[in-house]
Amino acid sequence: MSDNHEHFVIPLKYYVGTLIALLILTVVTVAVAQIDLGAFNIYLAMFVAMIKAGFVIFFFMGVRWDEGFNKIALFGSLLFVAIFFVIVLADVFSRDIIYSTENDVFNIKSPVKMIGDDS
Amino acid sequence: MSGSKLGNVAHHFENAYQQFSSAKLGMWLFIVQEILFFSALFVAYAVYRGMHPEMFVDAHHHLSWKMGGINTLVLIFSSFTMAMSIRTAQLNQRLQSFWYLGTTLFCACIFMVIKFFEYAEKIHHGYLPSVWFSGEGIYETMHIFFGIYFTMTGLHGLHVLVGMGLIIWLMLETRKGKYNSEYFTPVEMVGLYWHLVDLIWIFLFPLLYLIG
Repeated sequence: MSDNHEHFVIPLKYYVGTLIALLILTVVTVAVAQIDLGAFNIYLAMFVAMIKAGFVIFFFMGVRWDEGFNKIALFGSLLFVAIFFVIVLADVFSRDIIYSTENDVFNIKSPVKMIGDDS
Repeated sequence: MSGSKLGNVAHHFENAYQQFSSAKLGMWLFIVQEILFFSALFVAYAVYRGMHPEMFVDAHHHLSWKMGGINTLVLIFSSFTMAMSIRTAQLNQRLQSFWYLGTTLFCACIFMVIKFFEYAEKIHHGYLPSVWFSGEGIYETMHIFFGIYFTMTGLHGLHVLVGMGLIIWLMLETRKGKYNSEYFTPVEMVGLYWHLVDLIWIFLFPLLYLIG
């Protein structure tokens, strides 16, 4: 690594472009939320939020031009966030397939017993 | 110590660039930790929303999407000015860097003032977490929504306050002329932190204010 390693200055167009994109996408999210699409609303809102997050990460935070190791740290953490979601949600929302619940009341702490277990 | 323009390069670093690079990796590890810590709250949100979908939709009508929307725009703009303050510091434009930081701080103040009015209204009407809940609603479980709302926005607000303190410090240091094209590590690090604060709000806004 040489001492005269220049710091990379991100071109202005990326910052201005990101700002405009984020403002437009915010308006889009708010506008779409006013239309009732049922369960699809949340997925659309999260999709737009992820695009916005992508803009912030790649351009504002400069990850696009960042060193590989920093990228591994970031995307590694996002991978584990995904695993966290999948495992917890798969557990919580598949319990009524495996266990029977009293009066259909189903909560995190509700006592459960196996379906078909009458003891 | 090679003081002057480069800032001080500690003896265990080869040169200023390696020192900058190490600092940035450290900052990224901190940010990654923040993402993981907030992810637990997002998982809690997903679990409780899955269990009480109607209650969540009903409860969110007590939040004003207009206030949340204004705060979103303010925070996005502040992220832009923060990025610009780093850029101008890299280009030795000290005065501009100072004023970009000032604008970021101003936006953060607007955000906190709006947040204050939102909180004041919720507290006034008794829309509080857990046993403190005394608001009106058709669902008994509504306190869960407000528990999640206050925990998530509260922790986020705390991050904004910490960021404001850091920006004030950067402004004082910029005024003293501490940062230039060779040394701007603190500006870059606070910038990353500030973008993270923006990033979390990008998800909080649709989840809390726009569910429908």
